Amino acid sequence: MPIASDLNKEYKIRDPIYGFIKLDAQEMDIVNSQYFQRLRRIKQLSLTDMVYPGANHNRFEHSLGVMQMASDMFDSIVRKEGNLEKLNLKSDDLKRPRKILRLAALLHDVGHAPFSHAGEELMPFRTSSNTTRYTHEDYSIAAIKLLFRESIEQHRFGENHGIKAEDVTALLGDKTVLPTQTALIWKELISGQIDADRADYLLRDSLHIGVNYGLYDRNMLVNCMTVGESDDASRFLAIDEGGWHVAESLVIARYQMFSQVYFHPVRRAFDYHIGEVLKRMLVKRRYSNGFFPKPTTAKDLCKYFELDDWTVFNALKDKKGELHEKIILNRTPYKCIKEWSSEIPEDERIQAEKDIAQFGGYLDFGAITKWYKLDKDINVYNAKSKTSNLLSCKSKIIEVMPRLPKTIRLFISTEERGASNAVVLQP
Amino acid sequence: MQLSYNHNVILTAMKLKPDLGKTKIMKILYMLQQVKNVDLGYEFDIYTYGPYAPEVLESVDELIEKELVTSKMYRYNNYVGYKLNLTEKGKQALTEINQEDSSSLHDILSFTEGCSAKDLELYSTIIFVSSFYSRCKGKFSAIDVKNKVQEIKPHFDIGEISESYESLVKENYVKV
Repeated sequence: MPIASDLNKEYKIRDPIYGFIKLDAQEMDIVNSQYFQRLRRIKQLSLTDMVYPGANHNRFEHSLGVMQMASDMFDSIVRKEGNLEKLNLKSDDLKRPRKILRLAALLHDVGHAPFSHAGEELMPFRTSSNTTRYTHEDYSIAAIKLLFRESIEQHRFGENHGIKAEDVTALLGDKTVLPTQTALIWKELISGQIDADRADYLLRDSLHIGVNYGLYDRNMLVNCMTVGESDDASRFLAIDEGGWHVAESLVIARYQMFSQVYFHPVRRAFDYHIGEVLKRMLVKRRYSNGFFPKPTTAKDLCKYFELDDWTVFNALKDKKGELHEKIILNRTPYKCIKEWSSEIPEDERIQAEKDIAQFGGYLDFGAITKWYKLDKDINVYNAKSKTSNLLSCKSKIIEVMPRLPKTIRLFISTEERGASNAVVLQP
Repeated sequence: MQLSYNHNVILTAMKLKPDLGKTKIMKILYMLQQVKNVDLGYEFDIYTYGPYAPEVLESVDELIEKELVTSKMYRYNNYVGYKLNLTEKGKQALTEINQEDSSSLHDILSFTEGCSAKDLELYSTIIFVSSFYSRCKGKFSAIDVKNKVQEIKPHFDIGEISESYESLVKENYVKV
């Protein structure tokens, strides 16, 4: 057990984006827990360092960053004239919702599988007849309720505000909790179009990788966050009309990061290879037929939390003679030899499958924006005239941007690349 | 052109009801799945404007990309939205959905006839809260549902909530 943090101390952690991230004793105790420390051993971008060697940052620093970003957004929103009334809050009521938001932001990724999204295909199905899988969010929610409850509810800083674990999970999409209207606004700060999660990872990924695609004006974004009000008095998260260009730049930054980094073909190939290594490791360890344990009991959750990138790297080194292990260790990934946008014609699919059977390889359908939630529009609000607009209506660039970038790629084993290339690419 | 069953359900709704907005299509599909048990596989969660599943907009965007549906912006008072309509190509690509689901869709469209996006937001939120209570709480009363809906959506007064609740009970869309 780590020593409990000093209740009266304000802790500061250095961060490359924010300078310092400040935490109170409760947050520090959570950070010091073994389950949160595990995030140091989960790389933010899986094996993206095979393409961009700087991509070695982890979920630990991102989680701290999201907490800071969410707090900055919260403070900016509640400081604006009229927003407290819209949120039915008084200035001395702010500590509780701010604390809940900070905890949700801090813990939003605590349930990530090893190698982040690369491990998500090994999540178990919810029921035997169901085709939907558990997600890392389900593991985060379960961890908050089963492993962090005491740190949230019985710690002085949580206890003073009567905070329950469910107040935190409500912001993360917990289907067993119904949020209030105000909580729905804060929920958008964790998982929405202009949320603290993507606002942090775009900057952080860009910084570590050494690219400028994900950069946008953070101070402007934070300062333009507000709450809009429609004619019928419903409230929603929005961007001040004066700052809609920063929302536009955030969307463009995200699009650039998709196309240049997250969907880079070599990165996608390594996601596949590490997924194969993980799959075999889970079978060997007799983890529920090759899937991660379900997040339904504390015992299974602890078993899940035993797994991190290091465990997988160890397994990989133990089996270094095997196909995918060797590919990762020698950096000889399958090569992308053909790609289709959106749909693959039937005759080409049949040919691709023949090549895969003959030479080894796979068809990758996973390069879609679903992972990174490109869905809802962004509200742009004019507080003076009390009118709202949509970013896609204000911005001609956003209007014409592809909504669902989806690429299907054929990857073939490196050794057979030449032969396969001739087969597939011939007219 | 390969279309999924969900695509065809959406196209059918648009064929039967021209000028549907994105919010309306979201709520109609929610009601179809929740109260008519048409298994579309969407996972709805509650957001600012009521039940929402990103996959629904994804399906709609796919139809727009395939040029089967057009999306046109419109302004109504202080609100901006999109109207969705089938293109000629969309009409030709549409494959009929099964009889039972088609009849369920007709029921939902007829129940929501003349409703604004705001009305649908209220209906779908009542259904969401009611199904949440029956799944998680066991015993609950109509008052519990109405109070919770008002907590989530304070811009609706209790009279409006009660009226909508009773309409849903009458159709057997929520169970007391």
